[in-house]
Amino acid sequence: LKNLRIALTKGRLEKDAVKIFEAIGLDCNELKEKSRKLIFHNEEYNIDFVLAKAPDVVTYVEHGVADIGIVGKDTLMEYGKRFYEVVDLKIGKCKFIVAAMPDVDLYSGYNHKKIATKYPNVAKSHFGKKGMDVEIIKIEGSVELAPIVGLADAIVDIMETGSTLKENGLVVLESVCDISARMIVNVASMKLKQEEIENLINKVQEFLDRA
Amino acid sequence: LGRWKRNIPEGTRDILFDDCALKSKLEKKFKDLYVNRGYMEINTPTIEFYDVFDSENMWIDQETMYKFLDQNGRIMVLRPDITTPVARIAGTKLKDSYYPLKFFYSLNVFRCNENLNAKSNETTQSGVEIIGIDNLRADVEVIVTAIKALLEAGIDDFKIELGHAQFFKGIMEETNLDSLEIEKIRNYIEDKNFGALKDFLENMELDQCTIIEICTLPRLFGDIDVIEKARRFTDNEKALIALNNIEEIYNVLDNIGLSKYFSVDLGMVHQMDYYTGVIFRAYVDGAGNNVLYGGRYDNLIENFGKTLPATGFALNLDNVTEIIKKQDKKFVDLSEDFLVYYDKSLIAEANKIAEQLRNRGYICELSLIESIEDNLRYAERRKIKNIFVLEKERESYILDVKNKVRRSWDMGGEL
Repeated sequence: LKNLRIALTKGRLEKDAVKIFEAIGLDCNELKEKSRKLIFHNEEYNIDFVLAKAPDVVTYVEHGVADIGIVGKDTLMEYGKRFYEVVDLKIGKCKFIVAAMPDVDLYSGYNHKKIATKYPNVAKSHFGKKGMDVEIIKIEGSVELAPIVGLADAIVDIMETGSTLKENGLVVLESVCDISARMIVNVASMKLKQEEIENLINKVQEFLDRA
Repeated sequence: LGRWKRNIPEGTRDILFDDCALKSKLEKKFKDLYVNRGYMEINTPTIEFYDVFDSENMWIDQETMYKFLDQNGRIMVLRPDITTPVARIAGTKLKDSYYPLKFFYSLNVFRCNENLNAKSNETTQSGVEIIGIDNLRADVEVIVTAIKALLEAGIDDFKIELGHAQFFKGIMEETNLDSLEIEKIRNYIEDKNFGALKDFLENMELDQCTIIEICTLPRLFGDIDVIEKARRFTDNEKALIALNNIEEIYNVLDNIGLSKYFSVDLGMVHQMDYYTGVIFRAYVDGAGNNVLYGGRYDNLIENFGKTLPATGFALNLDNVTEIIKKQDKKFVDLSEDFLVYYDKSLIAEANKIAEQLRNRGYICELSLIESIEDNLRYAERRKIKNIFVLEKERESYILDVKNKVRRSWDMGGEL
């Protein structure tokens, strides 16, 4: 068996992904132990796991230092690089939405609208499709704050339950698209380690189809 | 002003010594290979008019080209690829030539990539083009040359993956989807996005059979058995001809003994307006992307005034150099045999001796430094094995740099 390296997005996705891997018979105990290690080896299947931040997962896979990545569609849309997107894992489900304070009419008038977001490319392409010129302000932390303090007219962000928006008095103006975690594969690895990777994809897909 | 004078632009590199020697060595190997197979070298201008690269079936995005204006206000680009200038030459200067024309080139191309991603904006492409002939012989010739180039470089852990532009085009003709929808499907197949492809197709007005057919497409990759699998699920004439074409090429490669490098990906659907026939890419273990790509492009040259079939490939010389470096093969040795250190009054004599040493096949450098101590230090840093010491009114001798041992030397004698 050729060695496979899987990059997992740290945090909540990691836990859900581990559940899937365990369900198809991969031992992930080492991964589950709380430690500061960033790389783990599974002897039985000759698989390495590495933990990384979401955008780094995409970078590692694109460069081929990881063969496979588990990462949210939101990150893929924002960073859109070259890779194969092979399985929708149906975990980490949420939505891209446009939200604003209740009194804001974002879609009328000729004045320049400001949009705060952690996802400038997603926001740019969404409003571009609508033919709206907007000014995009990149925010690193809690985006909900921007319209409240008057930095932006609206935000583009991911929403899970909507409770953060509600608590801060924001309303959803429209939904951009659904998001969930994906399994991505490096283009060269797919060809050079075809047997191992297809085997893994099929097992994961079978598990998902059963669920 | 002067703020950037100590830096080089993003995505460019200074290539020094060992790295440069390795790159040149590989470049020469490739050039020799092409010459030995009957290709003729060409050079094209580093700058071209933007118009050359601005055609409908061109696949280089305008934002990735370096653009500037000439003194007449015309838009110029740093050439982003070589195939298009070759097509320009074929369609204009050589339009009344004999065919086939077999070109090769080894030239730098320029693309502005996104920053901070370890991607080069200036790379050397080494490749061949065969113009004016559309047959199996030409397709095989190009693919075999590509395989030989990688082998010649010292890479053997690679796969040459074959696809065919007409396979996808044929299957799409069976549907009545419009060009925007086909482009979406093409993207999903190219990204092997199985889920999104299925969802998209189920929302189209297509019969179940066609949906299954298209959904299978991105999974059709692997060894030659893929061709048989593909035959079972399509009866489109174009698609079947494409499959026969790939199979024929496989059979030839098998006869030559090269089929172990071969694999198929019928989901290879990039640059569909550009390619018209067999397409291929090479993947090497340890490189995240393809190192070589090519295929048949019979519609490009007509942009320049004459319809001529063509095929070719380009490999990224910088990527190949990186791979060889990683494989840790002792490819280049920059050490020297002799440093000739001499008293200033003996400069003519020193030149003569250096010439004699070179004639015997030694790499020999004339010292530019005054004292013997400094020469020794230089020789150690520069990895020079011996210092030939030529002093006034004394017998000359050879100093072994590593062991600090003197040897005498008589002209014409053994070293």
